[in-house]
Amino acid sequence: MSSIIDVRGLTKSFNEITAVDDLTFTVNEKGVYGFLGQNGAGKSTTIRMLLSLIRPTSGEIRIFGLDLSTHRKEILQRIGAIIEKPDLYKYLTAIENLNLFAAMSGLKLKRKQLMDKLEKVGLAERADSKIKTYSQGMKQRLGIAVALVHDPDLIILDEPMNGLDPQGIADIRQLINHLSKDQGKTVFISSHLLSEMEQVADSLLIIHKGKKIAEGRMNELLNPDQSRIELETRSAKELELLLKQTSWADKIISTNGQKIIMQMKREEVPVFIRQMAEMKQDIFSIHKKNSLEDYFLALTSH
Amino acid sequence: MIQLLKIEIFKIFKRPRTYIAFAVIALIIILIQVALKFGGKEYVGLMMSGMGDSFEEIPTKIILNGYLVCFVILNLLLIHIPILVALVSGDAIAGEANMGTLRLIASKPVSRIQLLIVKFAASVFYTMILLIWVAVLALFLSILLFGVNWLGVPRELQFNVMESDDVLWRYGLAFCFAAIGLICVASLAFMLSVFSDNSIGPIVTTVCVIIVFTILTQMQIPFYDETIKPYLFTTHMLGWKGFFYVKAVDGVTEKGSIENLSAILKSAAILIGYTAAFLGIAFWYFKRKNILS
Repeated sequence: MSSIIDVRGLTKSFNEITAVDDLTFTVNEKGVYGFLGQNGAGKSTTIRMLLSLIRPTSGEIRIFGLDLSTHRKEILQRIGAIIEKPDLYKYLTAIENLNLFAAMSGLKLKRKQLMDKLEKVGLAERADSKIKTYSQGMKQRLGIAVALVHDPDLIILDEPMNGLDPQGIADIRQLINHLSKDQGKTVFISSHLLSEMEQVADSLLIIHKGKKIAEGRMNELLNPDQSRIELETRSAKELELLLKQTSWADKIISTNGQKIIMQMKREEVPVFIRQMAEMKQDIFSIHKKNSLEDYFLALTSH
Repeated sequence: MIQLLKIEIFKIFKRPRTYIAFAVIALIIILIQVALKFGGKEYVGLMMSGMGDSFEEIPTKIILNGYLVCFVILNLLLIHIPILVALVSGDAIAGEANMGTLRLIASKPVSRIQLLIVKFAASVFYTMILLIWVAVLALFLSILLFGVNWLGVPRELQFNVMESDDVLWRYGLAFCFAAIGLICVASLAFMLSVFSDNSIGPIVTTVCVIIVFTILTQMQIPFYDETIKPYLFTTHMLGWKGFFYVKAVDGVTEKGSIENLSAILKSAAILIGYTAAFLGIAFWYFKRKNILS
């Protein structure tokens, strides 16, 4: 499987603030690549750098094997994107907006072709309505039609589910699956809706304060053979110091106040609990934490 | 490139606000024409006062013809049209940033330079259409309403007279000169637009610059005549009047002459220089701009 996006040492500083710090990652062809991070983690800045809207302070971006700084036009020809909310020309109709962005990508589409594309996102009936009369969900769907109008190989979606109702979110999820699985497109998607990401993404990149903190395939990161457990104790810091002197040291993921998160094999859990009792450690509660949300919070909450 | 230009022009003329300028110009010109139609005698009397007895005997309807009405309108309007030009040019980039569409168009396979060229070209196109609209209403409608005769242009201590067949070409060149002046204003608003994410800022700033510069240009203070005025683009925007200042030998106008063509050309060159500088800054900045809107 060849790589579509190859980012090396990407850094962006705004005056004193480093928004993205030495970020390195690879997105392989086909599939859905989830890009996670808290608000202000640097997701949008990274996406804007991938689309050449922001100039990196340092680092290298290669997309489709080409250097973005020297092959911008060829690369953008093959990318469709929604960046944050899909703001379009409110004083134009849906079909005029679609036609305009198709033309910007070098396409001359007939009304029938444009209508077909609007049909796919369920907006054919409102093709001649001005965007200012559209709901947020309709704008989002039109934004997706605009992003896909030139049949791109790589689709970059920055928070595409923002402001959508449950049906709208389900529609977007279905569309992402269709693009990835049926049409073989590569989808790079950022979202803070972790449960949705868990459903659509094959691979994940998690950043925190501009730095990469996890990357890998979803099934490897959320390995069902591995149990992630959260222990509540008197002092997580003291327990951490104690565990670091034992063979459990490399099982610690994070500590925060009275809580410590660890990852171990399922059969190791009872052994660990017995050992805690032998070490006379007060454990107030123990929870299994295996969802993407648990994993994400474990990585980013400290 | 042509396709992109068509898109930009399409966007400009699809916005209702674009037509405000056309409506405002039509309103002002028609109001001036109505005023001169019904109160022209008083206006001409005022204009001719102090010009000597020889002019007082000329009937008003000869002096007050379409050519003079057009001159009066241009004299009043060419200071204010730049404000209307700023409405579109100041909105060119900042308006896109404000709407959130700048990030969308800047992530399309079009270079930023190309994007800026078509945006500015579309602003120039709008400016030219606006100027043609002024020409149609101020010149041709005035000719229709008031007829044609010789044109008398009052100056400080003299009165330049041109025969009726010696006028139209002067208006042609005056409008061409006005186009250069308005493009200069458009480039100023456009440059400010590149720096902003909200179109109010560049539009208001351009209007303020025009107002302040125009006041300075029209101030009759000798100290400013050589220190500031020669460097203000608003001073040079008045260069169109030069086409109506003629050479005279023994009090007789030399047909087809222009009193000081080199001054007009110098003003045009300065305006083009300003335009180039404004655009140069806009291109330099926009190529490096981080699009965060």
